[in-house]
Amino acid sequence: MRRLLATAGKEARILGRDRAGLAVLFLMPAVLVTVVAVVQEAALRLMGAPNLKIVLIDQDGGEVGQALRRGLTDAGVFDVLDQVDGQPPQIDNVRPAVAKGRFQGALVLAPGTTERAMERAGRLVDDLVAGRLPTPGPVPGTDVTVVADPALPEAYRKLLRNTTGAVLQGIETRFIVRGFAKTMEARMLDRIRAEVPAVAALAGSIKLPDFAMPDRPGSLLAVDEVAAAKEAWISEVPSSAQHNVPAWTIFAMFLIVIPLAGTMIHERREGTLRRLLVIPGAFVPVVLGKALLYLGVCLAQFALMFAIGLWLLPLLGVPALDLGAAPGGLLLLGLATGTAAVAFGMAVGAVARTPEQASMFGATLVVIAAAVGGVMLPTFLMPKAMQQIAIVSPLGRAQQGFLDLLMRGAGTGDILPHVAWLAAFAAVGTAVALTFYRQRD
Amino acid sequence: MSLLRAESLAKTYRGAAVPAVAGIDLSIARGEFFGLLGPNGAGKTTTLSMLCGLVKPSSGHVRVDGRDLSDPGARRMLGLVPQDLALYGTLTVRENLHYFGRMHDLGGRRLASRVQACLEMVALTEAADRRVDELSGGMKRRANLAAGVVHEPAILLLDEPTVGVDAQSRNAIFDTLTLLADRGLTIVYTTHYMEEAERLCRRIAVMDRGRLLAEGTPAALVAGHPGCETLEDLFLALTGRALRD
Repeated sequence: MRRLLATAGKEARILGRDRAGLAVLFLMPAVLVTVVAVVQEAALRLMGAPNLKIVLIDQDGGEVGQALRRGLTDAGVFDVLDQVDGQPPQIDNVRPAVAKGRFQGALVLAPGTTERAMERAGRLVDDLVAGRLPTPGPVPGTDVTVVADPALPEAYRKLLRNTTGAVLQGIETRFIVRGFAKTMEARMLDRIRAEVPAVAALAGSIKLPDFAMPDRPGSLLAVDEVAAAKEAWISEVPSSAQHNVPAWTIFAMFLIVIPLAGTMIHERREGTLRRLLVIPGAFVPVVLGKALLYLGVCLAQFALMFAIGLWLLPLLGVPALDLGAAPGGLLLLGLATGTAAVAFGMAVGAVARTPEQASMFGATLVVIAAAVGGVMLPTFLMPKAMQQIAIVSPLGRAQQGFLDLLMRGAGTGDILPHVAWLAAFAAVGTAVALTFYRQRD
Repeated sequence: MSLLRAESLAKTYRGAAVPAVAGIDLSIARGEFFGLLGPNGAGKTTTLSMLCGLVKPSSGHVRVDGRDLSDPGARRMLGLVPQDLALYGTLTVRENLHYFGRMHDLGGRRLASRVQACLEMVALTEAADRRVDELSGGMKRRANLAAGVVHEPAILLLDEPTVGVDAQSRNAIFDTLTLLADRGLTIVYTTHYMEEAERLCRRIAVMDRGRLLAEGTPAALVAGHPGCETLEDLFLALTGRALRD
């Protein structure tokens, strides 16, 4: 134990005097998580709850325009504008403004849109009542034109088109029902006069049921959205902190490969390892003492990054990191991740021949494992083959575990498979280090 | 009685066509200052590495005070001053000595007094709290020596300890080693500088291509080889004048 602690203390002094190493381990990840979280939060807000400015150029002035205005506003993602710079909007100045991105889109209602829609509804009803099925086909001309910002993501264009289409379908239905109501009343009276001449004189005095069609008839089916997570505390739109804090923490931990492997190689090349190997029983404390110190560094990184998530990011407009319902699970997973990272660093230090080899090889592997493991991009967006590789990436396993705890309401028991996997990885890495470090000397 | 004995010691590295050490016998008495001379590639470092247990021999044995080298008690009697400056550059001299002392299971006041004694012995007391990478070459070599003796070994193995050192520092190292030898430390010293061997060693062995070519006191060896007036003459006569690249 004395030798273990002596080695850990020696490594702490060496690392403490390595400013570049400390910057790589602490400053760089802190800056990364802050910048990426703030930038992504803005993007997440736009995707989760966008506020798209849509100019409504109503050249019709009828019911269709009113329905569109109401329907788009009720959708909760559109800001419908009736005026531009205090004036009624004109297509000639609105279209260039949309092209330049001042507005995300515009809807242009051609003159006579409402009248044409009512006429077509009436013809449709006449056909249906007469037993003639309407022939499907495109509606001639253009009644509603959708103009979108060329830079608007496809998802938002679809949102605008689909919402516009849903609102127009609603008003079409209303016109059709109204048409039916009028037609049915007249036809019923004609039928009564024709079939029962005896009461023909009374037909005008018969009161038929009123067919009423409210402006908003309401839904016939109820739709409810519930969170997939077990716990009710999961927020509807996860903040960027929930993904980025654990992701960059894991990345930072595995970056210890650079200083850790470097110190091992220096020790081997400069002869200090030889001096130590003369001492009986010193090899294991020499290796594990380093592991102890760097595990402490990993835990310090974990604390720093989570502290940034809890206290610094809110000052920059990002919702605070929510630690979930299993903080013990977070600590356990952090410890397992740190252990795996240390073992990886030791394995690279034992196998690489020069510090340059270790930093290139080790750092490149970490970036690849991070990318493949879903640290930078969710795994479900990746090709199938890469999703398979993600399962074996220690960074991917750690990231999955943290996401389960922080975003899916998992408990400590739920992440034990990830912890076990990371522990197994650590065991293999340590075995490689103990085997090859001595041999290389 | 020999304190350090090597019997039929041999080493062939994997993939090598010829052995680095081809079966040598050494017997070093307690308190003896023994020199191992040889040109580059003679096998001196490999021999020293086998004597301190860093390299496993292909065949043969090493015994320390009658015990096999696999015995931890035997290994504890050894101290090594490698050819490389085996120190942590970003730590101070004191911190280096402290660390190596603790790895030798020294602690508390004993460690503190040993560290201080070693600093005084190699005249680095004033530079004790300077980082090793800030020291001159001579100072680093002296610190290297101090780290080899912090635990008071019974046998000290030195592998060309004065390479790249100025005359004053070299002299200081010689004086320290002489003092240690006078106090009873058994020393095995490898070098290819004849004057070092003549000045320090009571007995020497000349080694080349993995074999011992001659062994004895410097004076006896020179006297026993007609035509050789100095140890250097003897050395060149035994090992040849060809360059060893």
